[in-house]
Amino acid sequence: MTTRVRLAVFSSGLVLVAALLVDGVSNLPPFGRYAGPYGDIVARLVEPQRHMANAVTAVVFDYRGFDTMGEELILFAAASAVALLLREMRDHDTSDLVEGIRSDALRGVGALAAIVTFVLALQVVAHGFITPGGGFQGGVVLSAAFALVFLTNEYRAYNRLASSSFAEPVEALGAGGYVFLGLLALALGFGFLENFLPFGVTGRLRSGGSAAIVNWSSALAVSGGFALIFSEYLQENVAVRHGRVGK
Amino acid sequence: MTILPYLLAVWIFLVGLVGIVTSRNLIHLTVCVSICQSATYILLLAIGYKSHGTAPVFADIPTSRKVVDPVVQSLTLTDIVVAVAVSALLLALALKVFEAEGSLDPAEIAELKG
Amino acid sequence: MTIVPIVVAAPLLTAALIALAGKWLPHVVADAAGLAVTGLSLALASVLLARTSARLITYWFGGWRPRAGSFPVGIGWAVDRLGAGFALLVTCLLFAALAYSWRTMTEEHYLFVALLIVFGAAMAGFVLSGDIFNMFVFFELMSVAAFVLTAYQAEEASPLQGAFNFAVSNTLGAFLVLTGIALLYGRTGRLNLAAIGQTLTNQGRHDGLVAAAFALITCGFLVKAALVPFHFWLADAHATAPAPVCVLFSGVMVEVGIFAVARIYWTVFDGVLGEFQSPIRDVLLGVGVVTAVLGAVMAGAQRHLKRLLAYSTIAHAGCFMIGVALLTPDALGGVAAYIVAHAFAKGALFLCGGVLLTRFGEVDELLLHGSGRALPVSAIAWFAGALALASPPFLGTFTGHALIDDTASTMGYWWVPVVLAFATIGSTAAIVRAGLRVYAGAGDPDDPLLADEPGEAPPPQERASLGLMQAIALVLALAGLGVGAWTGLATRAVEAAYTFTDRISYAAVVLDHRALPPPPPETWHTTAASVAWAVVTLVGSAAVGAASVYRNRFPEPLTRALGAALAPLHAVHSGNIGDYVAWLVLGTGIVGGLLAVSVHGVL
Repeated sequence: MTTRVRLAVFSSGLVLVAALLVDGVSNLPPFGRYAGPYGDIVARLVEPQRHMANAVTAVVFDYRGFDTMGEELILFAAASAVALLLREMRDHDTSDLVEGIRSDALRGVGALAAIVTFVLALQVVAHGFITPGGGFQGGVVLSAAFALVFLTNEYRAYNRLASSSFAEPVEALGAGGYVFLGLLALALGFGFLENFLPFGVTGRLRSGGSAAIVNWSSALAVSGGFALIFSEYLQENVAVRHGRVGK
Repeated sequence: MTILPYLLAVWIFLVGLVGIVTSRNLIHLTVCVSICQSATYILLLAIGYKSHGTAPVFADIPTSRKVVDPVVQSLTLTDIVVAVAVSALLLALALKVFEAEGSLDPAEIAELKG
Repeated sequence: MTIVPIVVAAPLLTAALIALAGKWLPHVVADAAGLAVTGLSLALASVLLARTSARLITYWFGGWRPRAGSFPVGIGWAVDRLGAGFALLVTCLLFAALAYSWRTMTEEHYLFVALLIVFGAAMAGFVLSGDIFNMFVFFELMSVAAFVLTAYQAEEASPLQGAFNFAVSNTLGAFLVLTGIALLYGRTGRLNLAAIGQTLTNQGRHDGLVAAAFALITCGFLVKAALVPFHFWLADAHATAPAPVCVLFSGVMVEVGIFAVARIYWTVFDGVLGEFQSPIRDVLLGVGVVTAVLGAVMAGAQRHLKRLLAYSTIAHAGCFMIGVALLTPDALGGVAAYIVAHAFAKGALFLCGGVLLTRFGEVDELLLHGSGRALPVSAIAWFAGALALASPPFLGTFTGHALIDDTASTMGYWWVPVVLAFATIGSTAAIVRAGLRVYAGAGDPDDPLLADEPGEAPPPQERASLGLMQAIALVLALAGLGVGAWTGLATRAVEAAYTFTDRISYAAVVLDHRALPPPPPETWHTTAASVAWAVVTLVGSAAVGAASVYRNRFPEPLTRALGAALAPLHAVHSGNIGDYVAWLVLGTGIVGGLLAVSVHGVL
C-alpha cells in the first residue's frame, strides 16, 4: 500500500472517528459537574468504614483492590517480557567496561540524592493511607532513586544495587505476594482480598488494616518491576556500546 | 466552554493516531501510542472533576468538604501502569528489531505480508 | 462460592512463584507446577459449569457484597453457564499447550510457562467478570502476556514485526474500549455491568454519548476478535508465535473478543438500545459477512501453514460474529457450540504445524511437499481437524452451524447459510490442500496463486518427544470431532444462551440477590436443511481442496484473472503497522459510525 493510499484511508477514517468522539463527549455532564454516585459514596464512606484518610488509596487497595492485583500482574508480565526478550542475545561480562564519569563530586552528590530519594520513597509508601501517596507512587520514587544511581555513578554501581538477579525475585515477590494475600484472606474465611486486619485510627501510621500490607507488596512489585526493566535496558546499552551484540 | 477539557482529550488522541500512521521510526511510534494513552487519562480525570472540589484526602479537611471523584483517579493510576507496561514492551521489541534488521522504519522491516 | 476466585488466583500465584524460583530449579519443576495448577483450575471450572446450570453465581471481591438493592462499591463477578463453559475451554487449551511445551530446553523456559499461565488465567478472569473496568484490566493483562508470548524465541525480524503489529493494534483497540468505559462512567457513575445497564435503561436516553460508548466499546473488542478491517494483526501474530501459543490465540483469544461484544451488548446496552436491534443486527452482520468471505479467500492464497490457519480463524470469527449479530439466544447458543468445536480442531492443526516446524524446520507448504509422510499420527490429526472444521453431518462444528443457519433462515436471512458454507469451504479447502501436499505428497510442487513468504527460523531447542506432541494434537482433533457428536450440546448451549441474554434476570441476581428463573426448556431438532448444508460443506471442502492441489494445471487466463483479483488484497496486507492502523481508524469510523447512527434512530 502506498503512502498516498494509506493517508487517504486514514484521513477519511479520522474525520468519522473525530465526529463520533465529539458527539460522545459533548453529551457528558458539563466539566466540573460530576454527578455520578460512585465517587460521592466512596468519599463519604471511606473514613467511617475504613478509617482511611486518603480516599484514592482506599479505592486502589481496598474497594477495588482486585483491579490493582490485575495491574500488578500486568507490570509483572511486562517486566518479565523485557527480561525474556533482551536476554537472548548478549553476554554479561562487564569487567572491561570503561566508565565516563570521573567527577567525585558528582558521584557523591548523586549517592546522597539517591539516599534521600530512597527514604522519601519509603515515607510515601508508608503514609499511603494518610496523605497523597501509596504503593505505586512510592514504588516509582524508589525506582527513580535507582535511576539516579545510574545517572551519577554509572552502570557498575547500579548493578551492585539493583541488578536483574535481585530485581526479578523482588518483583515476582511483590506481584505474587499480592495474590497470596488475597488467597490468605480467603483461607481465613474472609472474601478474596478482604481487608481483615483492624483498621486502626484515621490519620495514624498504623491505619489501613491488611490493605496496608498489600500496599507494601505493591510498592515492591512496582519498584522491582521498574528496576528490572531499567536493568535489562542498561545491560543492553552496555552490550551494544561494547559491540557485543547485533550486526 | 464546559466541554473543552473533553475536546482536549479527543484532540490529543487524534494527534497520537496521526503520529502512528505517519511514523517512520518504531520508537517514535511507541511514544505516539503513549500519547494516545494520555488522552484517556485526561478524559477520565476531567470526568471526575467537581468545581470547587479539592483532593480526596481527608488528612486535614473535614469529611463534609466537597472533593473530586477518587474512583477515576484510581482508574487513571491503573491506566498509567498499563501504559508503562506496553511502552516498555514495545521499546524492547523495537530494540530487537533494530538489532536484527538495522532499521527502525516500519516500511523497511515489513517482511511479513500477504 | 469460594472456588470462583481460586480458578483465576491459583494459576496467577503459581505463575509468580515460577518466575520467582524458576531460575534455580530444574525446568521440569516449572512444567509440572504449571500443569498441576492448570489441572486444578480445569477441575474447578468444571465444578462451576455444573453449578451454573440453573444459577448465576456472584462473587464480590474484598468482601464488598452489597446489600440487596444498594450501590455496588466493590468489584463483582457474575458467573453464568456460558462464562463458566468458556473458562473451562480456556483451561483445557492451556493444559494442552503446557503439555505440548513439556521439557523445552531453552534457558528462559520457566518465564514462558509463567507467562502462558498468566495469559490463560487472565482470559478466564475476563469472561467471569461482571465489572466493566475489571474486564478492561484482565483484557490488558491477557494482551500484554500475549504480546510477549508472540515474541518468544525471536531470532529474526520476521517474528518481531508480528509481535509489534499485534501490540500496537490491540493496544489501540483497548484505548477505544477505555474511552467507551469513561463515557459510560460519566453518564451513569457506575462500573458494575448490571448497574450500568439498569441505569441506562432507567434513564432511557439513547443520545450521542450512549451511541458513541456502544460504538467505541464494540469496535475495540472487534479489534481483538480480528474482524475486518481490524484483522490485519492476526496473521502476522500467528505466523510468528510458537505453536502452543497459536492454539490459545485461535482457540480462545479471538473468541474472547466475540464474547465481550455479546456480553457488553446484552448486559449493558440491550435495555436502552433494544428498539434498534434491527439496524444494529444489520451492521454487525455486514462486518461478519465481509470477514468470513475475506478470511476464506485469503486462506486459499497462503503457503505459510500458520498464516493459512490464521486466515481460517478469521473466516470462522466472521461466522461467529454472524451468529452473535442475529441477536437471539438460539444463534448465540450455536456460536458457543461452534467455538468449542473450532477451538479443539484449530488447536490440533496448529500443533501439527508445530510438529512439522520442529521436525523439518519449515512451515512452508510447498517446501514441505511430501515430507509429512514420515509423520502418520500428525497426518491423522491434521485431517481429523480439517474434517471437524468442514462441518460434516453430526461431527465437529455441525451443531454450531446448524443452530446459526436454522435461526437465520427462520428470521428471513436466507443468505446466511450460503455465506457460512462459502467461508467453511474456502478455509477448510485450503487446509485440505495443504494436508494433501504435505502429508500425502500429492499435487504439483508449485502453485501460481500462493503468496511468496520468507520461511520461519527453526526454534533452537532440543525437543523431548515428537510423539507426545503428536498425541496431544490427535486428542484435540478427536475432541473437536466429538463435540458435534454430543447430542446434548445444542440444548445446553441454547439454554445457557437464554440466561446470557436475559438482562433483567442478570441485574436482579447481581444487584438484588434474587434467584435466577429457570430458562425455558429447549429441545433442538436437526432439520433436513442443516444436514443438507453439512453435506455441501463436507463435499465442497474435500473437492475444492483436492482440486487446489493441481492449481498449476489451471488454464492460464483463469490463474491470471484470479491472481489479478488477489493482488490488491495481498497489497493491503502489507505488514506495515501504519497501514494497519489506518484501516483500524477507518473501520472504527465506518462501523462505529454506522452503529452510532442506527442508535440515533436515523437508519
